[in-house]
Amino acid sequence: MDKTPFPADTPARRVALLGMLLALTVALSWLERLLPTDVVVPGAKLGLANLVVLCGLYLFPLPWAAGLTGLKIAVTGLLFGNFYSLAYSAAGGALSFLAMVLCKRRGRSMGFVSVMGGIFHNIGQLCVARVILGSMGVLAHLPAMLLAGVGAGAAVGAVGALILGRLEGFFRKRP
Amino acid sequence: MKERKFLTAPEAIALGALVLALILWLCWPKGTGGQAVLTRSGEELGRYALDTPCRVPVRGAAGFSLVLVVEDGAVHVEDSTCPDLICQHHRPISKMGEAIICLPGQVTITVEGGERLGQDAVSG
Amino acid sequence: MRKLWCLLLGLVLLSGCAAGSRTTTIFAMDTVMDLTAYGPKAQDALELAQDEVDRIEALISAQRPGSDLYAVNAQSDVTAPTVVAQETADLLARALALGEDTAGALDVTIYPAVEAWGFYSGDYQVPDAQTLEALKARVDFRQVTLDGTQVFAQGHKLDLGAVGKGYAADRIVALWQGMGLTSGLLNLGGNVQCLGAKPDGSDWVIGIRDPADEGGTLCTVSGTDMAVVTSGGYQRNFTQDGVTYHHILDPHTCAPADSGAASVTVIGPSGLTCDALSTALFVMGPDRAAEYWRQHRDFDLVYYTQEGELWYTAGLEGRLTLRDGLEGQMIP
Repeated sequence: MDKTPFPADTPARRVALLGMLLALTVALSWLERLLPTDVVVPGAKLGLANLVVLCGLYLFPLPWAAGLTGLKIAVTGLLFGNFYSLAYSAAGGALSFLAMVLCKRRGRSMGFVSVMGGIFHNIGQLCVARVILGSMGVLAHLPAMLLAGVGAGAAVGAVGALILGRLEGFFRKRP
Repeated sequence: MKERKFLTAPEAIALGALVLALILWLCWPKGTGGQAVLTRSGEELGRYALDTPCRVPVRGAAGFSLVLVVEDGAVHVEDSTCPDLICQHHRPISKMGEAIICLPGQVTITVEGGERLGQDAVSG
Repeated sequence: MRKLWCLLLGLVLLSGCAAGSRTTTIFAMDTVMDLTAYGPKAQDALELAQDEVDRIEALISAQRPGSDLYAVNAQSDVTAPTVVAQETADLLARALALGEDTAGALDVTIYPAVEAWGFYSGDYQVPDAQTLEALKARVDFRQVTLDGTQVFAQGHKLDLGAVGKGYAADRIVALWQGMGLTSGLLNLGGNVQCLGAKPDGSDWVIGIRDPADEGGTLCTVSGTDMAVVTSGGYQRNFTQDGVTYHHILDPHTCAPADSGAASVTVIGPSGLTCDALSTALFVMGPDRAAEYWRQHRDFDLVYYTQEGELWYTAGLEGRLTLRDGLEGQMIP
């Protein structure tokens, strides 16, 4: 059941879109690093780059979307991070993707899907932190991080909806 | 491509409830703790009463170090050599359950209750 | 969706089962035991400790059918010996030696007296004068002899309850040391024993319970590699007709020791010795206990009398922190 909502159905179009989205990922990740990290919550990123994952989910069939997510994690991890940030990114990204796929499959609307993505991204990060630190201290940061996830998810969802709307118009005009 | 709603009403309600619950959890008044528990890579290194000022140098993982400082009934971190310094920027904590975490150094400082403050066990 | 949520939260909470300190609480030897081990092998250490406690209980509990002591006590032919395990024999030998050393303040043949007062069954009663006289004749550890692993109890019934927990603590510490652990804390029903120092290198701080206040402590004692064992009447007692009878019986009277002691704490390297001495010195009373200490000086003591006087030995100087308002005196 991988009907793409947009006519990005030829491999060529998909690859082109993929490339654009990856470039966007890099730009967003770079932008994220410029912004001051949240003092209250340890290492919580805004998750701007999740925008790319969200778009991928609605533009591509599932395998392509998964591939895009994987590439995003790898590229940003290699370019911008160290082992730890890769681990957090991978866990957060994977969990977030899974959650979003499930929500989308069950017919939830885009805003909901995106918020769930944001929440589970942070849950994934906390999981890894828990394993690495081995103490229950991370639990103290759970509510703040989940709230951040909701916020980031909502923002990403809104921007994503805008972008997808524009893209749809773009594809409609060019048969 | 049919028009899709950004968020349906039931979804909004569910999310709103979640946000409310999280805010409540975050802002729920917590009792003042009595001691700071220091762990590194999951291993408990020591407990420090919050009413006794002290400075404890801590060697974290991967060569990062920091200093645990207890003063004015709270605990905070100084002189951290970790790359992001999130631990150092964290405001001093003193309430039950609060925690300061240094991810690169794998160090956590958690505030716990202090009923049998300073005693590890009671004989008899 | 909900299932995923729960699963994920569960993962967050469970994923911390890596190295570190581990604590477990078990119920054994008729009491609650808290064990804490530190280091990467902590989890294994705890499991080993639990197995060891169960093993020891099965071996020496007089109440447990199948144990060595149960067999000794069930021996119908008073002239025949009962064969026990080498470990039991060794333990018994030490208990008998301590009995000799404390002039009978510790007596392993106290079983019938404890039974008569109802401390085993929970069916408390005050034996009459005649029963007590009969009991006094039955309690005499000197009539018990050991030959290798043969126990000649001569009709006496034995109980190693006064040394069981201390012995178990020693065994657990030995096992943990063998595993390479350098830090651990045991609290076997009030018998506290420390392995090494705390993980950060500082001394352990052990409180001594206040007989009058269950949640409060009289003082704290700091140290490393030590056992801290307290005996007190408040630990187990019953009240009948307005009089309170506690479980620390004086072997010479077969009645609760009325020595003026409220709580006696012995601190030293061996849990077994501290366990035995805390009982014996309670029975002896403050003066004889001080004399005993002067003759041996290989342990430390905190003696709290019913008048509220606290006496402690010189070795505790700098290690003892008294409760606000409590004055202590060094034993001369």
